[in-house]
Amino acid sequence: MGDSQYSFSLTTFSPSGKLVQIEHALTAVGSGQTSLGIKAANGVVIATEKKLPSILVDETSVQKIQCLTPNIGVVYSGMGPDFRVLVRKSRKQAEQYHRLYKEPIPVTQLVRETAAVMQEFTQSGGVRPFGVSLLVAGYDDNGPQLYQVDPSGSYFSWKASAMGKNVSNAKTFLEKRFEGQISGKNIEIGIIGTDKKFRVLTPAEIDDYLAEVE
Amino acid sequence: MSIFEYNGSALVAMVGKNCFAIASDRRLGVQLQTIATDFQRISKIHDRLFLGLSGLATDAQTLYQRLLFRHKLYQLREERDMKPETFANLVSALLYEKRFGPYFCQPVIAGLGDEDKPFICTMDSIGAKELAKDFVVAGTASESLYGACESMFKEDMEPEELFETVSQALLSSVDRDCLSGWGGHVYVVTPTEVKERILKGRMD
Repeated sequence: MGDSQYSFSLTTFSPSGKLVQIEHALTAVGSGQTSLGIKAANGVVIATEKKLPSILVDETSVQKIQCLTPNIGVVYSGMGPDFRVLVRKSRKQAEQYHRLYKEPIPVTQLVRETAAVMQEFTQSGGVRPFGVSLLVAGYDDNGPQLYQVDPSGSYFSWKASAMGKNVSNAKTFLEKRFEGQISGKNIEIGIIGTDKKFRVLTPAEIDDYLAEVE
Repeated sequence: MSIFEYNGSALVAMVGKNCFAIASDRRLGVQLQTIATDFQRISKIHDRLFLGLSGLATDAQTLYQRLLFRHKLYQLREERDMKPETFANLVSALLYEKRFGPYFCQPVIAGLGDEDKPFICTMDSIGAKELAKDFVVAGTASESLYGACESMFKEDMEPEELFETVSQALLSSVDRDCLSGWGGHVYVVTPTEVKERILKGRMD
């Protein structure tokens, strides 16, 4: 197909109207570890699979769910290092907003600015798109909110969503209960409620919840 | 003569019961000469937020245009009006940006915040905020205004009484200041309406 001749350059459209590099970035995301989020009436929950390359890795050093502000958290599917860069930029933008207005940044504004950063990297020379999709969970004056941001810079608000490997299964999985193999050691769960404080559950707490579910 | 006294101005804002009043004089001068007797020192940012700027008139106009610009962008992005406290922080940040070449203005901000609670504040020309529960003053007549407000102010005044108090305080203070006067401009703002009134005082 003519498309492959245009896959070298990010900033050139292919004849079919696609930016092939962004398609490849989405493929990178699709082969990343599964992550998902659910918006409830009074809060948002995000979670991700934490599969480490070997049992020798110290799992406490790996943090896939991060805080952007006291009331906004984020999880990703795709390339970890790209995620770290985005978290850093987003935190700075949130702080700049706070310095100007002394108000915590609304979730939509932070998502919009993060998406703008990701879009910049699809229209500049000498850079590549970010190889991550983000799930941003927050609680502000407009209530609980869940947004997905893609490498292209487009963002969507979800009631519940999943990204990464086995997305279709994961979306079905969202309606089912967890089965035995999952434990506090190989999943991470982040939660924010009406107290507007985002926090990550400890493995012990995850195990407690799993025991209840069974 | 100080640059802050070049044009002459008098501004006062006062808190009442679920309402506030903001008032200014109407003189625009070039040192001793009077140029205009209908100069607007108080501007509306949105229906529940007013900004008064004393000091050098050119800086007051430019600063107002910049702030209105920022507020309009904020409204478009966030689909809501700015709260008075937020606006005050924005003004403070903007003024401090020019720390070593400042705007020669002293702003007075008055607005109704969440649950219709009145908010007033003033700041110096480089953004040092001064929040007050009762009244704030600015301009060449500020010393007289402090005295007049301190003696005439009462807590929880209704809009009509607040208007009388602010008017008396303003007119008596500008009479003692040669650089401000030529009448007054008073806005009384309640959750439901904004009343704008012109005062006739000593026309000198």
